[in-house]
Amino acid sequence: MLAWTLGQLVNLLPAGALALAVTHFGRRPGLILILLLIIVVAVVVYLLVRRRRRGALPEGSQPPIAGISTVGSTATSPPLVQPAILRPAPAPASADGATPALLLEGLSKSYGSLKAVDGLSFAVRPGSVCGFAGPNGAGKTTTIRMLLGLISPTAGTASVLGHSIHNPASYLSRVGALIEGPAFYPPLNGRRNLEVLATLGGIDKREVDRVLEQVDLRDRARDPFRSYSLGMKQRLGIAAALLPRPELLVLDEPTNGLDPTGIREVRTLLRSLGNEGTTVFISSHLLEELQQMCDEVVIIRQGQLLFAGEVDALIQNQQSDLIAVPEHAQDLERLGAICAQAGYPTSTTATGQLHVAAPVGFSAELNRTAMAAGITLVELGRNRQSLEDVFFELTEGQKS
Amino acid sequence: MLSEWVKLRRRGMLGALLAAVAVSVLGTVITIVVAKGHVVHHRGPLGGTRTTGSLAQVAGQHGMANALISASTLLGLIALGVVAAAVAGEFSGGTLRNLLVREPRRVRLLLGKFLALALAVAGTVVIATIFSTVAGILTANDRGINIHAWATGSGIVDLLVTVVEIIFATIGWGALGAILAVLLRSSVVAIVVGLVYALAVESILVSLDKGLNSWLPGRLLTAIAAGGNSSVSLSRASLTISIYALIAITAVTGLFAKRDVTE
Repeated sequence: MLAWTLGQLVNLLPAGALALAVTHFGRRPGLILILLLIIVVAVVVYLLVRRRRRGALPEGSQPPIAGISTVGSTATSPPLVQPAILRPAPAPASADGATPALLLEGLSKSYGSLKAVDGLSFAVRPGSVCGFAGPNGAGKTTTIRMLLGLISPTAGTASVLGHSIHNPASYLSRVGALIEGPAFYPPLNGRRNLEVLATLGGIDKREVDRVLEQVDLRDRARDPFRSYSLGMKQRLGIAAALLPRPELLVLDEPTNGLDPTGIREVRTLLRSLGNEGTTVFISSHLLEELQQMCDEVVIIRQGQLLFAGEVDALIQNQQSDLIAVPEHAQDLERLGAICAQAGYPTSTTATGQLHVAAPVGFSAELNRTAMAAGITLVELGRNRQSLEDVFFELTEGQKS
Repeated sequence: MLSEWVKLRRRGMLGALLAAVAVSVLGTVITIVVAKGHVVHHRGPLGGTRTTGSLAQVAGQHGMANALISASTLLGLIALGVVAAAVAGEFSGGTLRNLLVREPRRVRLLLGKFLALALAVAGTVVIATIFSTVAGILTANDRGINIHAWATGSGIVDLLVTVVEIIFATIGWGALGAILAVLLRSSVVAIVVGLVYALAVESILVSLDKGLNSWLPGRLLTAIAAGGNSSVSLSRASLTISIYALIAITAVTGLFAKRDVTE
């Protein structure tokens, strides 16, 4: 507040001082006087602003909060009940007591009557690679913007690296972010664009070379940004996010526009960052990528939490189908009848597969019964669901 | 502020600098060329020349300063456009979100950006003055005008004071551009609104009531550049602009600090 008030005074100083000085001292001496005044006040303001240190809470001072579903803690991953929508489970924030990298408590954002984010609560363990998924318009980018202090929540609270999002200056120096695609100055080259951000953030310019190397853009660093392909722009955006050697990396669709090689490189990079202890929070539509890259995942729809927990737990706990394929297609009907007799509904596919909504334990019984009925099975197995399957079940299956 | 300097080192800014220099040189040359009157050559042992009419003003110690003042409003309008484009471009180009992630103290970011732009504007005025002075000397010599008064101590001080006044006025125009940019968040809209206001709206209002000459921001900035004029004194113009600045800056920085960055 003090710096802000002084900032206003500095803005006003030239014209105000000009008027007063000229009135009282005459034209020429008055001008000299105001120039001196401007310099003195500018130096004072600069010193005051520098003294304003970040109002950070001491590390670990924020106790784990019950009632928040925690991502990345095996002990606290909520059990999955298919197909119900998951709600925040009453659990401590972190099994090891560490301050969550991200902690959201009923975070909401409304635009008029539209609730873009509606009471979102979850936590992300430090050092984890966490995916953030949801259909278009689910509120992912709005959530990320709130976490980065770009927009204010209308209700609820959140903390990033232990600091309230109401004071983004206290944590953003330790956060790298790519929000809604790369936005840079088209006439400036890649290096110069990064230098702008490095200078602004008080980051050593040698870091620019490091991140350019990391995203394999060093050879094109002196080309104007406007000449870059979409993939190169995306790489530059990731480079910008990596500039401060962040403890937390927040990436919004980082693989957009990248070719398969680029996607693989980004995946490897993010995994290695995660292994080095950087928390990565990544929003993406590429669920296959999230599944390969992430330890945990948060899924939202219409601004509300559907799931927060480990990817493996999510997939394994989903009730999976059995797939049975008889040697002869005409046996499909009889095979279906056997399953129905056992109480399991079935469906057939155009490729001659029978999907049985039964637990994996039924497969042995099905095999025996089919054999007894003279049906030879050429394939019998579990239809393992991917994150994509689960995602669609969660986001589309609950629409009604 | 330093990061803004990195951005300013680009071709677009060089174009703005060249435009400012061209406008200033042109204003200076035209002022001297169109001055009416005669140069009278004295005969006799002392020789020398004497000028009449507005040529006499050109030849006086305030002659070069007057020539510079003639282009000051145009310099101001260029500053308005450049600053508006630089500030609003951060909104429309989406780069503001990157800047705010690296520097979340919004008022400080805006202040630093404006200070860098103000310094660039001041530098541009100084460079334009140097070129204009050279052009003025050449043009005056070409017309045979005796400009020794320009080089006297008081002539030089007069010129320097005028340059400082033009710098303040030009920065004032730039501030107007920055205010419009924050309010409108579009380079094109901010520049168009600024130019239409300065060139058309104020003229219409003044034609309706001459008394507005001492109240409208554009007129006040023009008066500051000229060191005061027949409508308003320098001190009165500066004081009024200060009050406007207080209100506008409080509103704009408050808005910038609180408003959601959604684009």
